[in-house]
Amino acid sequence: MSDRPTDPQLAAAVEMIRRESRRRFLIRSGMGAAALALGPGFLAACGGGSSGGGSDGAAAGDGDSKLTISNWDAYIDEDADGNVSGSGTTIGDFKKDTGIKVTYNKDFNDNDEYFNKIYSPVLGKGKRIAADITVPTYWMAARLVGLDWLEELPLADIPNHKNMVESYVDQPWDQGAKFNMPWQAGISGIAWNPKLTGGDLSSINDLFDPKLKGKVTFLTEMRDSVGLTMFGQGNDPADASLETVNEALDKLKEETDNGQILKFTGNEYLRSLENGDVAACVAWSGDIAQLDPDLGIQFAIPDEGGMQWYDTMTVPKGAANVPAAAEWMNFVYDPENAARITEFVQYISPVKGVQEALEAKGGDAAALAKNTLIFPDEDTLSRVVTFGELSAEDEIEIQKRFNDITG
Amino acid sequence: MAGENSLRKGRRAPYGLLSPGMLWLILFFLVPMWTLLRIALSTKPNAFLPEYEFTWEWSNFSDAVSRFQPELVRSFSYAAAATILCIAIGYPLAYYLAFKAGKYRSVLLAMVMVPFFISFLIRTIAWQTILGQEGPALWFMETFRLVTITDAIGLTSSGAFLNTPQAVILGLTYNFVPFMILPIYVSLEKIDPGLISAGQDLYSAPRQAFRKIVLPLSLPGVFAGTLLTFIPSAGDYINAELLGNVKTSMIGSQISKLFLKESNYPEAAALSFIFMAIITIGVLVYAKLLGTDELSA
Repeated sequence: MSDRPTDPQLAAAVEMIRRESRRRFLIRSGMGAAALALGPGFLAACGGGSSGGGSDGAAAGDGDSKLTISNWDAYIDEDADGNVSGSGTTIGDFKKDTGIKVTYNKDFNDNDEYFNKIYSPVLGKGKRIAADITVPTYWMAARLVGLDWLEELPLADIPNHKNMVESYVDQPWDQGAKFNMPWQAGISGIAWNPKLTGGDLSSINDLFDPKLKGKVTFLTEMRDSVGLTMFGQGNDPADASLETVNEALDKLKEETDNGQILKFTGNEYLRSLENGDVAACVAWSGDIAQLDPDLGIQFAIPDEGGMQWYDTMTVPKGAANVPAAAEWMNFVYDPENAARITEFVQYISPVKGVQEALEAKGGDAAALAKNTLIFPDEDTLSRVVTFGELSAEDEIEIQKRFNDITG
Repeated sequence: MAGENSLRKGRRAPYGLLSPGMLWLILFFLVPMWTLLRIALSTKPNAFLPEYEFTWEWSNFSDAVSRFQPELVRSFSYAAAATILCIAIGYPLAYYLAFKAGKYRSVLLAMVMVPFFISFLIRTIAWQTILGQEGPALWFMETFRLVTITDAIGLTSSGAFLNTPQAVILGLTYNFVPFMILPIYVSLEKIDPGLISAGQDLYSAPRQAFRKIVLPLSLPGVFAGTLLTFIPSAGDYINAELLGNVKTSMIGSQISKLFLKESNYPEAAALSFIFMAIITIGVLVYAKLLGTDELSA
């Protein structure tokens, strides 16, 4: 069919590892659990594979004030050496402006993992966790608000709070965004390789076309896979009930049993899509925005609608330095600073004025400002929703069924 | 008097020598095991809160078995298949290394171990490229029109290599075969060549000499190699996740999901216990069959 793998492909594998660890990557999080279950032998076998997760640069500042941030990997701008706190970076400038010493940890790999390893065992016992700011996904933030494990933000000290895009301000679980300030957002839709599908896809139900049997992947992120399937059934994921979710799970089970869905993945779907092992899949907009356009991979929000998600800055209960956390949030909600982050991470920014700031920069930045995956238009935004809030019991039951389906 | 004194000291010395190991075992094996067992017999009234109630909840065990029976069976069958493949590949290789490699021995031995300098994860991801639709494995088979044959003998499934159970077993075999080669090599390498010459002097054919001398003396190596490959492959799930499909998941990923996704620590602990118990019983039976007294070698 094609050539033998060349070095660039091997390089791509290495790049993949780096990229995969960025977000929602199941393997890394799973490895911790496997190590728990299997003991040191397994850890030794995995060796260097998981070295990226640790602390990255507790760089010097002049003041005594300290701030610890736990964020996803590759989610903030870096200097040319890949250092997040180098000069000219957001963290570097923040330190220069405020004198606050930042410890920036890229140890937020997975919402559930962080919840079960850190939030629940520590905050649940009324103790303080190491981070002053953590960046869970919106539904996890909602859970934390419900459990009363977050500090209320001192909005008076965060004047840039007003720069928050309106749609994030009034969530049912946090009216007025008093407990959370979104960091970055993205859209889940469908992606396909036109060479293998032989045409464009427009509906989520196109993924269930028997022509694509065994060439389709979904995401292990329950809300993305189930939400899109609900859209395909004419239900609204923003208003999810146990009944409509179960209907979607029935569909996913059927399509998994009959071999239509090959597997459920984290970020590794990208590689399968690039390699032609997968023809079409549920995908994240930010990933597709970063792909080489020559590959011809297409992304669309299905006609029925798409899922929006966002990761949001929260201050865990009892955090050591709430004022510094507020200062940080204010700093990154300045459009200029937010634009620098957007330029690097290429997700959707929740801060008003980023597009204008990028246009003003000119060059590549101005080109980014035109990218509709990063700056979706009104029409697009009107078609995406976040997944409705679930009760704790429903959530556990749904997750259990979803796990049985995803294998 | 002095003699008696030193004798008494001598009696206590073994315990003194054992104590670091015992302490290690107690702290890092028995205490965690005890905690795990307690959690496995507890209930967690609120999934989101870190509180347990110890209630002798044996149903955690029965629930885990009934829900994850397919994964348990799959884990052990894949591990068994991979172990057999490891012996089939590892034994001849170790034999060659020990008896035939001559001056190339150290180079070849190093080649067995060199892949370990690369992370387990990267090596497994590399197999995605090798086995994928555009990879060399399928390229080769398509060029030589072998796909119908490989489909027929079950090496591929409808023309695909990647994302099949076969790929998972292959990944397990690849990742653990050095753990088979090295112990077998060590046991073969210790065999005195004089024994084989002696056998030949007594008119044994080379095949007989192998069967009656080399094979029995190398069995402890095979035994150790089997443990070192079977146990980690049964618990591994990276291979299943990266090279398999939705129907190839193994027990490790289920334990992880119970713990991390469903916040169901008790059932996760129960499942871990069941898994360990099956392995322990299996190992004991295997040791009985192969004779443990030779294991000390």
